[in-house]
Amino acid sequence: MRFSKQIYALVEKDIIAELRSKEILNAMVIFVIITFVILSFGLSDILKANLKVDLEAVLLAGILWLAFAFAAVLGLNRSFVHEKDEGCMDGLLLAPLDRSLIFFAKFISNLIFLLTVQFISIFVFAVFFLKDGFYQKFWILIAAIILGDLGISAVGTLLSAIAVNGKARDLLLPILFFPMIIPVYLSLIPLTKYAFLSTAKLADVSGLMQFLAVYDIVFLVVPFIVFDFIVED
Amino acid sequence: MKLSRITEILTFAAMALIVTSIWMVFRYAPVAVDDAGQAILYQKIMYYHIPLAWVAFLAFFVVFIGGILYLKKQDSKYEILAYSSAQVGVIFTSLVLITGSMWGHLAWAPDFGWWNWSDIRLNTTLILWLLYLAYLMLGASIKEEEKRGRFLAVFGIISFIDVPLVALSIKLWASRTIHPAIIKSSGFDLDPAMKITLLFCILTFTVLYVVFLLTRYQLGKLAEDIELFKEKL
Repeated sequence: MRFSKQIYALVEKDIIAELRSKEILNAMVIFVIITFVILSFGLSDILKANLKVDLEAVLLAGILWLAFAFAAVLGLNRSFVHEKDEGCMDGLLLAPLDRSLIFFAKFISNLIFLLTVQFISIFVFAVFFLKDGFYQKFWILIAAIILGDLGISAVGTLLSAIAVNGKARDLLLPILFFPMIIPVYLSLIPLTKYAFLSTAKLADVSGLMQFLAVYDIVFLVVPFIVFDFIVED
Repeated sequence: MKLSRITEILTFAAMALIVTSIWMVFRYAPVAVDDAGQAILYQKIMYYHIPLAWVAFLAFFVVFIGGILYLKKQDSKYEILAYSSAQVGVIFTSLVLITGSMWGHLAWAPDFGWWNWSDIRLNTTLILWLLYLAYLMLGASIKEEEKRGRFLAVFGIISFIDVPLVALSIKLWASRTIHPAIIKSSGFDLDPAMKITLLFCILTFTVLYVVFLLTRYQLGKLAEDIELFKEKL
């Protein structure tokens, strides 16, 4: 009970700060849209061609997650910058809180930002790319986004807490982050492909979903153990 | 016995082993023949490729263990050990990728060029290489010694946990491999003379790794001593 109150207070702080400045969310949404545009120009001949439906689905899945992955890095990069530069981290560390709660609250705020950005930009994506037959298995896409975001936020929060201490911190995070989330990325692409195929069955996607769930659990448990060492100052 | 003395002895041992192993690879081990009776000379690269891969994994395991010990004991010697091991590991992994590409270019022609994006082992090794390059980048970008030790330890631990997940995800994503399996659970699938040569090469490269590791470790220790002297002055 006490923990949930503390986490709620920390998350509320992040959300209020973001709603006042709006610097992360706006940038992320615009960045996602720009990535869609750039990729569709780059792949225009392929998108115009009359592809087989499963090829088209996997191409669109790649476009979607490439944009989301880059946008996630953009947001994660900022998540500890204010805390550090304006001394908020010192305040948090002095507060009578369990250190792991700071991680968990930051993870929840990052997850909320990421889901908000994805919720907005999925409409843009649908307008740009999706044909009428692509919506029948949309629940798979929703499950994929939730399972993927849990892993992306967990790993990203931990790594951005590390990267914020580096010399070139904005450059450091993508280098640390992308190789680490390769497993998520590799299972999200086929999962999203099935979301666009009306013939997809539960048996096609259950293995991928189980894998993502395992990844999420591993990278939610491990930071709890090691986060103390990262913020210890 | 002092560490520098051990390194000296091992250096001479490594030199003798390398000379012997070259003789074994090119004179003792028989030339492989294909079904048509044609000699396959490029198969000789296996005697370097497999030991390099083994040493690379060993090196990253040492990074993992060094990280855990550092977090437990907070002694900078474990950080130096882990970082040295990562440097040697990255060099060896680079060589694994290069020798593997050279072999694959000949063995898998004309189906593949220099790289095969659907293969589990190739791509896992590639991600492994990227993860530990990121580890080295992280080490280079953080100035404060004590902080660097903690962050490197945490990153070393989570990247080691990530590697099996990467392998599993690539398996789900592209469920095939055409990489030959020399070492199976049932034992070696090789001619006895080839097997002895391979084992000898593995021994040679392991000793070479220890020499590199100890040399780099002592260098790191000296660098630390210089920093301490500077602070005293």
